Amino acid sequence: MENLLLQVFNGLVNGAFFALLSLGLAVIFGMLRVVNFMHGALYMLGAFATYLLGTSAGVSFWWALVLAPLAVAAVGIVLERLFLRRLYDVDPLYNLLLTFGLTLVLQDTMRLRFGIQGVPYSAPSLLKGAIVWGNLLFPTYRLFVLGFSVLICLLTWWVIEWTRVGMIVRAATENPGLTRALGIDVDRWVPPVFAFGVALAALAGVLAAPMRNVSPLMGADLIVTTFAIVVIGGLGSILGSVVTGFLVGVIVALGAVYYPPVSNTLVFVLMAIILLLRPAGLFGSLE
Amino acid sequence: MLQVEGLQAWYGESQVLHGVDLEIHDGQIVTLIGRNGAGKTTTIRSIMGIHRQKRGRLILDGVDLAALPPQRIARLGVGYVQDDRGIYSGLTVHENLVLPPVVSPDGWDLDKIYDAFPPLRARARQPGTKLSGGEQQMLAIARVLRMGAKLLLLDEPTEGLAPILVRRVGEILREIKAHHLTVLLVEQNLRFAVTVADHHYLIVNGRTVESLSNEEVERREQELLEYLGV
Ligand SMILES: Nc1ncnc2c1ncn2[C@@H]1O[C@H](COP(=O)(O)OP(=O)(O)OP(=O)(O)O)[C@@H](O)[C@H]1O
Ligand SMILES: [Mg+2]
Repeated sequence: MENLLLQVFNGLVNGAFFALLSLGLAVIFGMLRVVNFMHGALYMLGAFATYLLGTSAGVSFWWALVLAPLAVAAVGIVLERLFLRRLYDVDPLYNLLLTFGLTLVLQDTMRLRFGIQGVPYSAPSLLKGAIVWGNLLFPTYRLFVLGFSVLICLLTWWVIEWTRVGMIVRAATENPGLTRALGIDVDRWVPPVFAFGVALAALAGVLAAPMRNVSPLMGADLIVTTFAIVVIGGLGSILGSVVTGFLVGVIVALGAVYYPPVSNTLVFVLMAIILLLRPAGLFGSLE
Repeated sequence: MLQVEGLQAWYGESQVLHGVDLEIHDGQIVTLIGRNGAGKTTTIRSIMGIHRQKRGRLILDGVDLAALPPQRIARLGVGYVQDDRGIYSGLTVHENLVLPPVVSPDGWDLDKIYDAFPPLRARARQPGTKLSGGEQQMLAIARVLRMGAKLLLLDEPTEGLAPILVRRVGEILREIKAHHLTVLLVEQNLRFAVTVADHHYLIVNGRTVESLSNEEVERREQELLEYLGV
């Protein structure tokens, strides 16, 4: 029982990363109709930015939580303006291919500089240690990751549901053409929304830096599962991506304990079942 | 005043508008009548700037619309009500109303809108698409009134509505006219058209072939009805 509780906790922490990543993907897909394959690489850049800010400028983890996402979002905007926007009018497949290519470029650039092994980064002293609860030991840093991720997801949900910008994003996600015809310059919102999605990926990267090895391929492992999550949750569904992110984190963690051989395939089995039963995903709707 | 001259439009290689000419004076309600597939929606979408593959003159109060994107045209005071009403399911009724920017001081404020369309007030917090078809039509029209549009492009607002709701749309159109707004109305229902409009254009295979007054429509009703295939 206690073991189960601990596994659920670890699953939720993993889910916290999935939720941030798939939330960013969902926001970007909704507004741009782009499947951003480089999302994992941007997550990786977030982790490296944290490391670099720390080693070269002495920037603390806390400041990196703010600065690294901003820096990576700036990179994202440059890539969007330089490359992605040229392909909005053609088949979405082109942008998938483009972002796949950019992923390889970003990964190899980091590999040239840092090698494949990666670099270490340690958690701030405030978050070291663990909190004991009965017989259970919850590492402080993991608790922080979970809480912070939930907070960011709630904040994002609030912005999307309750602000004018969020309303425009929802309208443009549902029907970009009509939204333009109602006087809204949808294209003006594309770079900031893209930057926001990128910043979420980078933020996940910052949170990952003290917990996982900071390495050029750290995002590659994650991105495929994240895509599956977005599909399960329902393409472009904000709520779906977050809930499914946490759910899949838990499923993978439990799978790893009770039947390790399938733990990684479990997500895709789940995806296949969901697609058969609800083609639009758990929270999606087919038009 | 809206002037459309020699409007042609294409979908890829296939040309669907071959010369649409029409003129709408301020404060007028003008209908565009024609069979299914004649090109009425394409005409409206071309004026609105949504349809881009086009050629011809589109002038609104001296401003050339032809090269402008839809959001600019909307901000000039053109309100678009598309044929499927275009209500967002992801937005509440209230959000559907306040989504477009207010582009002129003549825009109706929310109280005025809700007084004119009471069902919208009662269901303001519900998703837009939870409304009935008739209520969605009210919402789509209310939305462009709140925006302060001076020219309304209404694509078949009575389609699929029960007779009582068609009458309600008629009342709304008369109220719009009393506010001295201008309307281009796509309409298949001739009997309804003559009760609300000042003038009519018949569009056949992507061409405006006749310009008709109410008297002419009434006199030639039988012929026109047969032509429209109703
Ligand atoms: N997206 C499209 N691609 C290709 N052809 C199209 C497209 N939309 C419309 N058409 C064609 O263009 C012509 C005009 O269509 P349009 O929708 O403007 O007619 P309409 O008068 O509004 O008809 P309805 O009464 O059915 O609404 C039709 O022949 C139609 O088949
Ligand atoms: Mg039509």
